Order: sequence, then C-alpha cells, then structure tokens
Amino acid sequence: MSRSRFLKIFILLLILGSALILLFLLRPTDKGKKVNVIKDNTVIETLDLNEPLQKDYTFGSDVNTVVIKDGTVEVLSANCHNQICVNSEPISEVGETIACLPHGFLLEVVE
Amino acid sequence: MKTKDLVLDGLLVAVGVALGFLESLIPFPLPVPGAKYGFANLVTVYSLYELPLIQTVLILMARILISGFLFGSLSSLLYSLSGAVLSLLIMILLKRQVPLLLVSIFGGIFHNVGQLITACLVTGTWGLFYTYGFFLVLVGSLTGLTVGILSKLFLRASERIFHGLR
Repeated sequence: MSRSRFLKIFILLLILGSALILLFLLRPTDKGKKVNVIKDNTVIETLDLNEPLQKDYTFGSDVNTVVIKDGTVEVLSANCHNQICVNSEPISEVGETIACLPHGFLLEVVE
Repeated sequence: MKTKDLVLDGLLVAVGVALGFLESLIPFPLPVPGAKYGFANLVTVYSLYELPLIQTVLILMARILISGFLFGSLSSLLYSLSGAVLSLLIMILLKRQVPLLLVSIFGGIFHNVGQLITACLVTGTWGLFYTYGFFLVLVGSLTGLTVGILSKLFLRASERIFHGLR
C-alpha cells in the first residue's frame, strides 16, 4: 500500500473518530427531566430528577419514602400492604410511572 | 445501452428492491429511530465498482423510486433519495482514494447524514443534529462496515458468476 493511500485512510479514520467524539460530547443529556408526585390525582410536588433527594410523603398514616439518585426515581419504602411500589424498578424515562394504589400515590417522569 | 447492460441493470434493481424489502422484515437491534441495515446499498457498491457511473446512478434512482412507490410514502421517498444521493456522491469521491471497506463505511454514514439534513430541513429544527447525530454516525459506520464486507464477498463471487457474461 502506497504511503499517500495510507495517509488518506488515516486522515479519514481520524475525521470519523473526531466526528464521533464531537457528536458524543454535543449530544444533549437528559437534563430538565422532572418527576411529578401525585396524590389522589393531584400533582402535589414536582421534583428535579437530577437532584439527589430522599423524602417522606406522609398522608395520615400512609407513608411513602421517595429517593432520587443518578437521574432515576424509586420508592424506597412504604407502609402499604402490597409493596408493589417498593418492588418497582427505578424509573427515568418520560412517561414511566410508579404507582402505590393502596395510598393513591403516583410518581410520573415528565419533561 | 446494450441489451446485456440493460438486463444486468434490471437484475440489480430487482435485487436492490428485494433486499430493501427483506431488511424491513428483520427488526433492527438498536433503538435508533429510522435506522436500517441498508443492505440495498450492496447493489450500489457493487455497481459503483463494476459498472460505468451512469449505470450506477440509473440503478440507484430506479431502485429508490420503485421501493418508495411500493413500500413507502412521499416523505420516506424524500428521505431515502436525499440519503442515497449524498451517500453516492461521497462514495464516488472516495472510491479512487481508499479501500472498499472505508468507502462503504463513509457511504453508510453519509446516507444517514443526508437523511438527517432532510429531517432538519423538513422540521426546521437543527437541534436534531445534536440529538441523533452521534447515533446515526455510529450506526451508519456499523451498517456501512457490514455492507462493505458483504460487497467484497459479492464482488469476489460475481467475478466467477459473471465471467464471460460481460
């Protein structure tokens, strides 16, 4: 393989590599996602998914502990009887929800 | 145009359309919107290396129009046309400079870039470039590499098959 041909290949691969790196860095991150905390069909609070947080939501004797970390949100513990919300995987995509039906408690990721 | 050329061109168009349909039956493993394998590009790469340029262009246009009218809509036709034209231009430019694999890789990338430019023009949002640019360039180079490897095999095989025919 001639020297100039090798050089052309090298330059093209270099362009490809730098383009990939540049585009990767320019890629918009998932900033600005929020999570709605809903109780009995009413949004009571909107939290930022990028700010780590642990918070108890207490209504009468109903307690749900919500944790936000690494851009995901989950229910750490709850005193509901079926524990479905606690067993739900952490959510992070817009539209995903975690529901605690016994408490009428819902988490929903929004833009 | 000689009858032999005409037959070969028709055959290649048919293969391209068939490949385009075939790949629509295989789900794409990556969750990138609009990403395809681009197996039909095999025909383009083959004709680029084996046939005169004018025939390559004719085969490409015929394949896109037929595929577009058969399986697509007007907008999908617009996207495949813009992708194919940019991809072919880049491949013609690179053909004499670098090996086939790299030609095919850049063909794949610029097919996606062409479509992305069209998408930006149609929607009027250049932000799409940042959102999808990385994935489309990545996917384009992977599918381009696949098509390149297949084209190499195809070219080698066709030497035996078409030997004496052309």
